Amino acid sequence: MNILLVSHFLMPLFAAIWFLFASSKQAKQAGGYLFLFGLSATSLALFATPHDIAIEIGALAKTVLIILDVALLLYFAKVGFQAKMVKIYALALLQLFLYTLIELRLPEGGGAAFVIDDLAKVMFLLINMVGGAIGLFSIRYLEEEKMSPRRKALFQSYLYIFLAVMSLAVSANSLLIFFLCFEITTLFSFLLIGFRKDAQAKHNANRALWMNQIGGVAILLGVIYSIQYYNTLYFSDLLALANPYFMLPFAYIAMAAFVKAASMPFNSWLLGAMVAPTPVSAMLHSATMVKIAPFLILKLSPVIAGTVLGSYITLIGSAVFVVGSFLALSKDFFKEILGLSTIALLGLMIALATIESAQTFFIVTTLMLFHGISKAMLFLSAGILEKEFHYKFVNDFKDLFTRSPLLLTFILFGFASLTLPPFGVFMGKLMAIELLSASILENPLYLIALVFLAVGSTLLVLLYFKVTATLIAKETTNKEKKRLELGFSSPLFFLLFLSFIALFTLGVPLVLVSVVAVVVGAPFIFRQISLSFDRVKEYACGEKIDFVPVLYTFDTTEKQKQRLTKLFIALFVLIPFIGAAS
Amino acid sequence: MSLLLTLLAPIFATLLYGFERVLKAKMQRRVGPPMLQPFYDMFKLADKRVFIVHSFHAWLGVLHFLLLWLSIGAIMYGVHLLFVIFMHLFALITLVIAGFSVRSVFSHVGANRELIALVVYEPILILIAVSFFLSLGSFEISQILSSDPLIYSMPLGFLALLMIIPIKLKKSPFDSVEAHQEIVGGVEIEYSGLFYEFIYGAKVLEYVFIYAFVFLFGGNNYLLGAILVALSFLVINLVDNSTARVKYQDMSRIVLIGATLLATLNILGVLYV
Repeated sequence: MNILLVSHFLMPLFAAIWFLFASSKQAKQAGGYLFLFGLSATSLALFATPHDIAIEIGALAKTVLIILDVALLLYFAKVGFQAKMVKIYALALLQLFLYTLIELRLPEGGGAAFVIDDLAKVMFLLINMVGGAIGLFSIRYLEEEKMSPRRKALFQSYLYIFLAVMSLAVSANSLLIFFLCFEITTLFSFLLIGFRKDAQAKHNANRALWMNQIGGVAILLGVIYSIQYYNTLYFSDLLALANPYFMLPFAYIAMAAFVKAASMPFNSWLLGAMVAPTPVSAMLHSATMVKIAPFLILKLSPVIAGTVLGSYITLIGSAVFVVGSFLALSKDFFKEILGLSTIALLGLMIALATIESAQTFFIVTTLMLFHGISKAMLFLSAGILEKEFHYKFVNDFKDLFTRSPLLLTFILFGFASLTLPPFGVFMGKLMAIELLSASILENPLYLIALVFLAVGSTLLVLLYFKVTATLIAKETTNKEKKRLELGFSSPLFFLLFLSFIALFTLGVPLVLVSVVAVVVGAPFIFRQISLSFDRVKEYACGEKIDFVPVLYTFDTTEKQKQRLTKLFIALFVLIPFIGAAS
Repeated sequence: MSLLLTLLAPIFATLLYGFERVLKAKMQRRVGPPMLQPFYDMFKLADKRVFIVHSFHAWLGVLHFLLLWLSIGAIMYGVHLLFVIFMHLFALITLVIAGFSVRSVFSHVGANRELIALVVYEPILILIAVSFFLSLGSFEISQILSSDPLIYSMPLGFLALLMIIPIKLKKSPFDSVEAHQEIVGGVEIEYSGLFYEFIYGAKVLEYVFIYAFVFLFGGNNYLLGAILVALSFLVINLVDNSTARVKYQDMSRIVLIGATLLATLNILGVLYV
């Protein structure tokens, strides 16, 4: 057991070191595959262990953690001073102050620093399998990037360290260790977003840094109140002691979750992340970073579900779902469309996580897992589009049908797996509708969430499939067909395989799976059959019309956007008041 | 029985469509085609030489028909109502992709409008399904059909459903998705002969799909269900004959606000009245 645990936590770190020193292409590729399968194996093995695992740490380790915390916050402050951004250093210093306050009045009594429970085990699957696939992809991706080999190695190892930190974060039981991991993910997202070092990258990285630090402040406030009300630093004690009259600590931690989830009004930091190389976006959107948000709410779910605070969080989450899907309709930049739909779906996950039901855990983890797989697939496809075809804007994707049917299949499959039966995200939504319907009987407020869910999910259908308009518009092109290289396509095949395999855990009837298999496979068979049919040109009423496929956009005015932002700021600021009042 | 109903659904749907054409002609004081005209059309279409734009496009037309048939089979087998709704969504998406896959302005406009129509009626279907659940505690169609009639407890839901039937069946005032005079049938335009037959078949299957929904309001009183279907059939055709087409923007505004409001009030009604 111990060997398994140690190897699970150390493997990503080992991978990070491997990529720092591996110089040949073969060594990198071998490492990519090795770590993907190694990480998958350990997380599957941990997933199969039946009981929770608690780990305690000694006094020395605690001192090291304190030093790390202080060093990290000082580094943030330094970045802030260098960039002359008050927001960054003020928030860093504020956190330092709050942190000192906490360390001075640390409660007596210890507990397990880490507890690996069912939730953590599911998160391991997501983080390591999807993250490993992204790591493998980025090896090939970086070959196309204009960077020194030194920085490429650094980039690759950052990705793996990110995975290690995420694994620690989801198994942390001590709030302070969780805070440290939270801040380290902030640090790495800052470093990765700013990796290209141009003005835009720096600007967006700084924005991500100050916004995420608001989350840090919220967690520290949560810790302070949990010491005051419950005299403890541990999730396990908090969940055991929780009293519906003292919800304030949970309200603050939930605020941190909204920041990490890039919910409105914080959506700009995640959307800004797309200036970075695509594996970064893939990492942030699917396996790591933003998934902390639903994870955190789900972790607190036993105590906040069914309270006023819980229903309030459900309302905000479902509002984010609708607004996020709606705003995405006006976008043209492929990664931005994917980004906004991530924000929307995270809102949905958060909304569902606070509903009181035996099924909540299953539904939210299903959504997280499958959303991770699908989004990773879509972002990796976006990376290939960018590097192999030099496409970034959806309105340019006009000859993909002829140039790479395989990549087109991956993208369409990604869209379909987010919206259509029988795939996981869809199944999650289906179960969510059932869950919300059942909850309406107890709390009619959930009716609003239900309407938002129904409208939002059809808006997402509209979003994804309007994009196909230019994606599959068959442009007569003289550019040659491109075969996807194995370095690009193998992570995608791995994710495709995962999403089919994982269906069986959902108990989806085999009939439906085979229907989908037919849908995916049949066009290639049908092509042979239809060879004998006569071809004909498209009809144009006898007129000569130049055909230019374009997307419908559904624009929002600047004023509406500002109003929405104000509304969401108000909703966000109200969270602790609702927490205090309940 | 379920299997038989599923297998016969296209034939029944075609008859219904033929009857509708007769009824419409009578409303306009025309003689109109014979009731079996749709069958004659289909034989004629099957006889034509096969032309396709490309194989992917043709295949999606077939797939659209098959998936729609599958979702109707799901109704006949009395499964989970939400499953039926989403199978239907799947079927519609294949048609949309087909519409986008050819280089035709009309086809693209049609596919875009198809998507917008989808956004408009899909939430209503879901909300109606939820109100069934709230009054019966189950989403299973077999349960709904063995309970007391629901039309009395949820008249607003029925009205909301009536509002979206014209969109589904492409009837005036909400027929901008197909709009023969301006976009030449939208996504249908690039289909011909044998493959148009599948699209034609799918179009008539939509009748079975949406009127099956109406039938559910009758609960275990099948006669009441049949009367509801007959009444709504009549009303839809009357409205079709007496209104002009509205723009798709107006359609989405009217239905999204009006019908969503009705369906939501309906749920509140189920909960509190």
